[in-house]
Amino acid sequence: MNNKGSAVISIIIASAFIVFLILPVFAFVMEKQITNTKISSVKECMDITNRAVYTALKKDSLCKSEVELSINNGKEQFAALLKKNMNLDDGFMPKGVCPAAGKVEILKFDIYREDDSTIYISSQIRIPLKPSLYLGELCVLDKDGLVHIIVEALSSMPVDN
Amino acid sequence: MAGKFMITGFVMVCIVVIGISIVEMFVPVSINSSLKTDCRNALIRMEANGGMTQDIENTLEKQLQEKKLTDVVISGTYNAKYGEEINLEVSASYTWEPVFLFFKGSDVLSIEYNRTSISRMVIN
Repeated sequence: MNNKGSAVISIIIASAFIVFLILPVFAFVMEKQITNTKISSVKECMDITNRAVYTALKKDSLCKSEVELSINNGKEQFAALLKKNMNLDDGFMPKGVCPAAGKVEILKFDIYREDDSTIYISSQIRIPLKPSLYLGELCVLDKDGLVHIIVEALSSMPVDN
Repeated sequence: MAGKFMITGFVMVCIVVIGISIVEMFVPVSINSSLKTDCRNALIRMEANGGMTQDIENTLEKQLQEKKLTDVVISGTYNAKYGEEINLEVSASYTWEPVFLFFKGSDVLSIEYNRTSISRMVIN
């Protein structure tokens, strides 16, 4: 009789171990992996877009520290290509398949040189993501239930094309 | 004693099944990331070459087929001058056959890549 009770308790402990420890840990790992996948997709878009701004540079003004942008304006070019690559509309809202779940904001866009041979293009955007599992419990959500993540991309390219 | 072994064994099996299922769920994600990396490299070559060339297309197609992707369709901008937009559009199918997610069965997933950049090819 005592042995039967012990088995029941063991089953309850084992079930609790799976439900309250193993499953939440795996859920956390999955959530992190899903979020990282979305962020890496956004970074890839930003890297391609950063590199595309190369042609907006004014070639005669490639000085040591600051690089002047041409009249086309690198920021505008960056914004236009980001919309195309991330499938955003004119108001930076997602249309169709897009990792963003809401309005994307461009926070920073810089072009600079640290040596004679390489140009660095740095951009930073704020992107709202929809929590897949429990990200909402771990992060601060806005009124639409979205998590805002800041993604930064730094691209480099040679000056001599 | 035997009961404890059974329960411990059951817990271990559950943990292994959950772990392998999660790994299997990320196989399509990994294939997608791999496709994006190959396409990105092709797009960088397109930037420097002023658009798509037969060599870039063949290399990309071969790389994607090595990843067991089927129905690969590649389209890109040809002959773009310096400053003109170049576009690379790739679509492929991947047959996902998870072993442990037996309730799922096999699934044909469609993977797409569509990016626009600017040509850096200087034509003298």
